[in-house]
Amino acid sequence: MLKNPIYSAYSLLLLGAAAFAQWTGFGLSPATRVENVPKSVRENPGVYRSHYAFLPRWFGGK
Amino acid sequence: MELRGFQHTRSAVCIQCLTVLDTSSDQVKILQRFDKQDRVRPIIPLGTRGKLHGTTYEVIGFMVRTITVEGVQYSWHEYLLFNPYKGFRYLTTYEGHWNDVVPCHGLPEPATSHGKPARKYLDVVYRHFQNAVAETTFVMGEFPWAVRVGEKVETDDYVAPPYILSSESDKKEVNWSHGTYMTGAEVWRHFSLPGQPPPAQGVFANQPSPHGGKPARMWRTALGLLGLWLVVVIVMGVMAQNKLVFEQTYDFNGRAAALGEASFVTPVFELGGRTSGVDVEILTDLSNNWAVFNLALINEETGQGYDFGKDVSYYSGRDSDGDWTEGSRRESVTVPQVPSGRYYLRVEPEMDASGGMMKYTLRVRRDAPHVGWLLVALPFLLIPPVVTTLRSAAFEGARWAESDYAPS
Repeated sequence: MLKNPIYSAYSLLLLGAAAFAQWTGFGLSPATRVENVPKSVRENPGVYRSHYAFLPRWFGGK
Repeated sequence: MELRGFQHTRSAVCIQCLTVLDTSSDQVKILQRFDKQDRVRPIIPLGTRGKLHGTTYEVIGFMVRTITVEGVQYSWHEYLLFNPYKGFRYLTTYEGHWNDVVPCHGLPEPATSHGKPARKYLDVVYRHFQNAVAETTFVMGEFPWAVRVGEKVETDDYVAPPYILSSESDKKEVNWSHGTYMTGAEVWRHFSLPGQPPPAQGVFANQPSPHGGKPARMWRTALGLLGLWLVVVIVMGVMAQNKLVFEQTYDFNGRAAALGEASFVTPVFELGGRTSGVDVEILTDLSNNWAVFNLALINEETGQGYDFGKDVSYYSGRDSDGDWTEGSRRESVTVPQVPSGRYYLRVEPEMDASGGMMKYTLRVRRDAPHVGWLLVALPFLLIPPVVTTLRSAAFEGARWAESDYAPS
């Protein structure tokens, strides 16, 4: 690695960043974060509708 | 005429009267006359002195030699250098590339390299590069042999950059010489020449590659880094909690759900440890049907939620192409960076109202081992050695494009 210091530094930085992202669970989230979901959801789940429920969908099938 | 090569000089050229003179005896004879239009001005003037390998040499002769390949003439210049104690050596130049050339002290042995003819000289294997017939087209100064314009020899060049091995043969003899590549800047420095040397054009036969050895070194480093990558993957896998925090199987009736409220919440489960991802896996028994799961992972204490969803569909059948399937009964979603705490899922399944029944299982796993980012990093780790290899190959391609072995 000492023979290619620039490549080694680049690779270690890249590997470190990837490992850090992996370790902290960083990712392009498929979820929408929402604050203050009412506590009444537990008693009455119908009072809350998730954002996903309103997205257009396509279902497969040949 | 002043002769600089002393008793070694066998012929000399008078550039004023354009004649080649035999100086081997006191009775100087004219060997040849040549045309004025053939006159070439050497870039290093005759009489110039310079130091090569710690020895001072004087330029005493200059000649132009020409080969014809596919009807195109290529000419290079040769300077004869002389030192009374060390003898002769040559400087050759072609399109800004230079070689320091000395006669061989032994006969190179025939060999093969990469399936092509080669020669071995002083334990170095030289690959055959080019065969041609070289004609002397201009001479100037003095030479230790009876030089003549129009003289032709068959030449073979063998290369092992930065070295070149050349044979020149006629009906009487074969002469081998060994050259070492030099840059114009080096020649200019050794001979203290004014100005700048002509820039080098293209890639010369024995020009050392600026990438020489780099690809191998890079790939060795890459191999070490791939090993390190693998270690990181294993360590991450071992250190991940990968804890199943919730699992429950449910039945769903699409027709009944259409008439009432389909949503429900799961019992509360604990997500422990550091902030990390949460995998929600949905396993269904769908067959030629679809289902949508609107989900929310909600922190019971803070009210912070993560809304997400997943479409699950699985179709199968048989047609003229044979059996086919589409989709999957099993899907999963990873919610990244979820802090620790007490959570529950709000689940709202949907199906076609006429879809009938579905059995499904929800599994929630904390900090499952993933290698997504490490997989993304992998090709980027390999970009530098791949680019270096391609650049090196391009350089070698340019070199061999000028040879007898150019790819057609």
